[in-house]
Amino acid sequence: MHDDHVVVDHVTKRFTLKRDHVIALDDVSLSLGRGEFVALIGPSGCGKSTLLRLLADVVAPTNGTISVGGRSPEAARKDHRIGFVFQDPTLLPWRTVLDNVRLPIQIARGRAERGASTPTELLALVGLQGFEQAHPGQLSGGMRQRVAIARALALTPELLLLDEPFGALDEISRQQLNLEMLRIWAETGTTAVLVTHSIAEAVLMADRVVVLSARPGRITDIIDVDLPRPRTLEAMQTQEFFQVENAVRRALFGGQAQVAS
Amino acid sequence: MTVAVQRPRLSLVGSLGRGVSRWVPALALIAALIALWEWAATRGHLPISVAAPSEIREEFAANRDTLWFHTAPTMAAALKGYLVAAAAALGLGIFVALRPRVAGTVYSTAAIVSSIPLVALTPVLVLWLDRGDTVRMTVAALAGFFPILVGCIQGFTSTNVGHQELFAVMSARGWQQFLHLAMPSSMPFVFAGLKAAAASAILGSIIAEWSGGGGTRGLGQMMTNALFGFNVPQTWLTILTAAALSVGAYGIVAIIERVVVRWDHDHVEAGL
Repeated sequence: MHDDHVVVDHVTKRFTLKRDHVIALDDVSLSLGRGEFVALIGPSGCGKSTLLRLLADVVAPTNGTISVGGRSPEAARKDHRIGFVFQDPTLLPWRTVLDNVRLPIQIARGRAERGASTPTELLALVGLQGFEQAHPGQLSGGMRQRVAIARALALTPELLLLDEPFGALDEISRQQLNLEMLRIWAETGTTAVLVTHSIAEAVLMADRVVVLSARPGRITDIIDVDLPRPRTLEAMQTQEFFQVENAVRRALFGGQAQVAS
Repeated sequence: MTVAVQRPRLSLVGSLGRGVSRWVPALALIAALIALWEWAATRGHLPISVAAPSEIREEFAANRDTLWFHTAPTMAAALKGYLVAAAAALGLGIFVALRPRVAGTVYSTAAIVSSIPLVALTPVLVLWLDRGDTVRMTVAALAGFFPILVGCIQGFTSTNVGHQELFAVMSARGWQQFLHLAMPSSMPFVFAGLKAAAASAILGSIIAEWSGGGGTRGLGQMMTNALFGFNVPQTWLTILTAAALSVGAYGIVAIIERVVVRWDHDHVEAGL
């Protein structure tokens, strides 16, 4: 079914806080096809952000292995092939918008493939033409997050990791950015993993929605989203959309009912 | 899409103008206090060890050349000491930033050394280094070193966790993270140290002069001479000059900061 671009194989992540062991992820296995868009959803503490950080090689797994394009996440990271959009824009306030987008190119110092688009083109792609010389402090929250998206795309990532990137935004900016993100993803053909708290956002964006449970973090269900692309806001009002949404909702909350019974 | 408020780029003149308007109430208060002081002194409400502002002004007019003769070497020594302190503290701060494990050791050692009162240390230094210009410069450097080091260490280690993760994902090397993240984000802290140290270096220079550092020329010498000769207006003139030098040194560094740090530090705290 998939050509297995990203493979998470029996991964467990334990954190040690003083003397307590917290199992963030317990024996998680998942594979992603090349160019696939997967959403991770689950209650707080289900380890979905941890899974994203394992893929980005910001933290290392306690047990199990991960591969990105046939190599370790560390190798992919060192090749500058991982794009990450954080919950906060994490822009550098002393740099202009354009220089913020250029940052990954500067850090890679010619050792990575440039993006298909230049930083100026990327800013146009996220709707920020004319703001190249502005400083982040002059932008609204939504505009800052657009800059962060452009920055994550500066070096053709083969894996784009999105950690609740629109969580801090209002509903209107959020849906607008969702659609723009989908358009950019379709253009670049990158594999994408989105961590979200919103069922509607997960269904709108993803090919598959991975549902996790908390303490310990485990995958409880994977729901295919067989909705046509490109997805639109109108599609969110269709019967098919509601059905998938409800399936995710059942997977999220039905699981608890089963545990309780 | 939200329309951003396009903030006009701060011109140096504009920001200074804004600075001046901010100082108007403070200057008015100082003027009022001087007027009150003058009134109280001429009416004999103050002890004879306090000169009236008008007497200090006359003293300044009469002995302007002498004042400059003594102030110039004090300023020169303070500046040289300050530059040495800044170079040493920045160098050590960068070393600590690249080798975080030694941060604690460096910090506590520097804290212990700097807690030795300079007034107590200076006579010993005069014995070691003789009464030349070196001792005056050394005390100025010692006075300025610690505030700058504290600013550097605090600044270099205060980077936002989100930014650290960003640099980790980008596979930035240690020096790249220092150059592109730690150094720029430390600027407000470093400048806080540099400003405090500028005033301290002036003070250090004068303390050294009280113990005979710098020979016969220096604001400290002029101060002690006036004091022991019971020349009240001249004593006050030297006190006010010392204060003006400290404020001026602080102000010059503050202006440099406004040119260098043009972004709003609050945005870093907000996790921008």
